[in-house]
Amino acid sequence: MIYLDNSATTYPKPPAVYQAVGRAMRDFGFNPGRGGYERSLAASKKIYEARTQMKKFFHASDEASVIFTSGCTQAVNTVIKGVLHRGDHVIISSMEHNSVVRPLQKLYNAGYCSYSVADIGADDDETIENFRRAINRNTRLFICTHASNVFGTRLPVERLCALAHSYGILFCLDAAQSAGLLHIDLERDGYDFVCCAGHKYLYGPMGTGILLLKGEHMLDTLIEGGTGSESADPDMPSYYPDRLEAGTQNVPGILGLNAGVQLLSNIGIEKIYQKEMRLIRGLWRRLQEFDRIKVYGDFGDDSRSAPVLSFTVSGIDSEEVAHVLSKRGIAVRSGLHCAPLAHRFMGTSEGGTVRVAPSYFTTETDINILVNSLRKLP
Amino acid sequence: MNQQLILLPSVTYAMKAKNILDQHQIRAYIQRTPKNVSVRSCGYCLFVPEHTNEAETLLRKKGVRVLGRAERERL
Repeated sequence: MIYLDNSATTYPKPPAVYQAVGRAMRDFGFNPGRGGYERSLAASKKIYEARTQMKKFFHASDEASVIFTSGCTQAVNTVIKGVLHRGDHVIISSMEHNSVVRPLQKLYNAGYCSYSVADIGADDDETIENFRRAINRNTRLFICTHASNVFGTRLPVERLCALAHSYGILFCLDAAQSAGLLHIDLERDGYDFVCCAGHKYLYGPMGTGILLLKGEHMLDTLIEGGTGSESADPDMPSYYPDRLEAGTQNVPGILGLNAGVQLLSNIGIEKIYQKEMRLIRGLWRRLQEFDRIKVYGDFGDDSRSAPVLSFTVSGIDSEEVAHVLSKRGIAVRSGLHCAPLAHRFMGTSEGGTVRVAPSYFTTETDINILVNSLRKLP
Repeated sequence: MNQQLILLPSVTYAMKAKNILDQHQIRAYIQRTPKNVSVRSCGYCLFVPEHTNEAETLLRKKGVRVLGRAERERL
């Protein structure tokens, strides 16, 4: 199989990740942060090492501000439901995923808060201005994707964060598609919250994610339960990470994720990004030769794009294109990609698009086979 | 009173505290907090057999939340 659905989850994972997960199951299969016996402490130490590495990788302020979650969706929900108070207003971009839209819509339906969608502009200035215009006296939070999971569009998130802070508004970066591909530096960029998927471009196992906190905000809890700390108290601890990590941790997942991030640190994410962008730019140029294919986005400017490309084929439904490619052993994703807002903005809601997302393990041969298969479409 | 246990809020802080002390060549061991310690703790603390006062000061200076001290004999 030629796998080009890495925006959904990367596959394969690096061998070190499989090994780390297996080793975690065998050697560290003990509840961390609970027992005082040697093996439980050894598991706790491994989790702590993972936390330390995430702190370094993202330049977070403290190990305690690295929260392990089940994925980016849980991280985003934790921020939205932990930060907002009744009457608050949120601004999101027109490229957001359902993991952002749906929790906000639920709060909106309950009459708890409201949100506005700021359109992506033709340039960064216009995008910034659209966000600025949407601010009102109740605006408490901006949530913005770093890069669209459908079109690869990059947003001016550092400027948006600065804009938010200039109005006393919090900023949450949805880094589902960018963590591991684009530099994220909490210290330099000042994001209040960063939500990451562990199983995408950080190359960890599915069921892993990270919420990074700047550390100044006491979030309300999304779920409550045992933490191994202050057990006599019926309230959740007031300190991180325990406050947001109720229940037994996913030790195999976290140690696998740690192995993935270690590999990224060794290779360097700039090198990974450049490799994937080379493949996507090459595909973008070649697809422009096809009369029937329309590619969305401009991949000529690296500062405005991430290596995710969407296209449609005139006269053939996107689902059908993906089906034909699947029969030829090529895995791509069609439809709305859980981002109807982004499709609405780009005018592709009707039939969706076909999305191509390489990983570090994708080769030029893979892309050539895709292009040749597209030439043979009925 | 020889209070050689440094009480910490969670296992994450216990790990962090041990790392800091290791870097300063102060021996420290993570263990469960004694049940009868009056401070509401996590279940984890550091046993620091020597230079405990210095260790506590160091941890506080490094921003580690220290809940208090206890005697090891009470285990």
